Amino acid sequence: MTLLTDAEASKYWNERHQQETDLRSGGDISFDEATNYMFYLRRLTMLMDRVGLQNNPVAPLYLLDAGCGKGYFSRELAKFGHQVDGIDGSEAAIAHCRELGGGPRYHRTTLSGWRTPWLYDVVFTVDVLFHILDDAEWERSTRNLASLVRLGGKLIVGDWGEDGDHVYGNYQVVRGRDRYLPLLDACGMRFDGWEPYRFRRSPIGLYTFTRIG
Amino acid sequence: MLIHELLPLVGDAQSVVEVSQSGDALRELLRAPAASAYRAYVPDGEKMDAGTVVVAFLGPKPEAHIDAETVAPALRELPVGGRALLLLGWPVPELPYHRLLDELVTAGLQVLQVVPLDKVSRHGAHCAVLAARVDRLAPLRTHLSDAPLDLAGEAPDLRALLRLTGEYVFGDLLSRPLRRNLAAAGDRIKEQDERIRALEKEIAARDATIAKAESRLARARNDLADLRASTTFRIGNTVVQGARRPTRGIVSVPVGLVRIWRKRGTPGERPGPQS
Ligand SMILES: C[S@@+](CC[C@H](N)C(=O)[O-])C[C@H]1O[C@@H](n2cnc3c(N)ncnc32)[C@H](O)[C@@H]1O
Repeated sequence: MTLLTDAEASKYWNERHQQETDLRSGGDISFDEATNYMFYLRRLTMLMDRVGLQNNPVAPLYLLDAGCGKGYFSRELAKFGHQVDGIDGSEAAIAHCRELGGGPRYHRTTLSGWRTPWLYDVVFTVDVLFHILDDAEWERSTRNLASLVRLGGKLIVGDWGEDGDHVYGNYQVVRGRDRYLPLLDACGMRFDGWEPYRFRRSPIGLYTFTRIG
Repeated sequence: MLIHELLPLVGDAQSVVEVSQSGDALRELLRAPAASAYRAYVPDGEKMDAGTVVVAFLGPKPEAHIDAETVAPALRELPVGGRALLLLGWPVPELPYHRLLDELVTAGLQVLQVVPLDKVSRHGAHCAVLAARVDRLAPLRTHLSDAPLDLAGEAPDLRALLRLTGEYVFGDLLSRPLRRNLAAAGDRIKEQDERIRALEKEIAARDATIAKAESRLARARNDLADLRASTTFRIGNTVVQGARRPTRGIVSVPVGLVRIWRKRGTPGERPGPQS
């Protein structure tokens, strides 16, 4: 099966965000809205474990939700008192996020193209990198996200935990440990572990890396 | 973070040495465990060891806080592995940490974490410094980390130090325009305050002028009413009316004059406010 081009993939996401319900549009399209709600909550608690259970209004944590879709994780994490930037390539998704408000600041940009004078305590990208089908763009995106993590900060990546790549349909290429670990090690990131979502039969989970150099 | 979460963060403290002489106040705030010996600092007194934590409350109020110089001798007595937990009574955005940092560095302590605190209104401590006496760099800690200190962990390597200095240099660069913008915003607020005060003065002066004009007007109206009511005015008026209409005047002037003569001495009707 031939994979979508970058332009086709971004058109696909923009239309999906316009047509689909809130959670199905950025979640798992094979599940209904209620199941997606469970799926989102499961991943939110996994993010909480990694971001930590402390907050402070005077000196908050700064988070980047890379590929935020309709902004569920951005909004929920902002409710905990964190300052969240959400970025996504889809105009429709960003418009939806801005309409809902709730604290985060949203920017329409690709993962590889996001530039800011500020580093983040945590950069997370939930189920986005395996939608970047072009290897070079995937690598540029991963490197760019790592560069935005401050010393001691975390990079959290949703992808599968095996070695090797695997293609699902025409719009998903999951990449495994043998891709992420060497690339991010070279970026000064320590691999802390991978934990599966343990949601139905999802092969995906969260990689956690800490910047140590 | 809550103030009583701080001592567990410092790690197992066998003895706590307080420099601020708060009586029991600081000990109670920190909820020092009964297992750890808590004592007041005496210069060159009981020897400190790696299990010692020096605690103090520093801040802007001399009656409640001590300053960096006062805590310094105790810091210098800490051996390698000894730790310091210093509460600071300044709001985080205004924290004048330079003096304290001087003393910490001079005493060979590494600042490991500065923790912003909750419930400031209850105890007045805005944040707390966790520091340790080291003979090599201790592992770096993250903002809001609540894992207990681990001084024995791997020291940051050259790459981490390059990263650290790089982040510092960029951070320093970027903080400069922010600082400038903040100062400019402060100036603008001050200017606006002054302008508001000047306008308020102007309004008060105008109010006073209006009040004066109103009282002058009221006085003039009263004078006019009194004048209209006076016998002289009314006689003059009757004569003028008669002169204007000589045919009717032959009869009406004497009749009017008689009426006025009879009513003389009784006050005339005052004109209404709209007259
Ligand atoms: C499966 S959705 C996940 C959305 C969100 N993380 C969530 O879990 O709700 C994938 C998102 O990634 C975005 N995306 C895909 N490739 C991107 C790229 N190269 N740069 C920015 N966003 C991208 C899409 O627009 C889409 O919103």
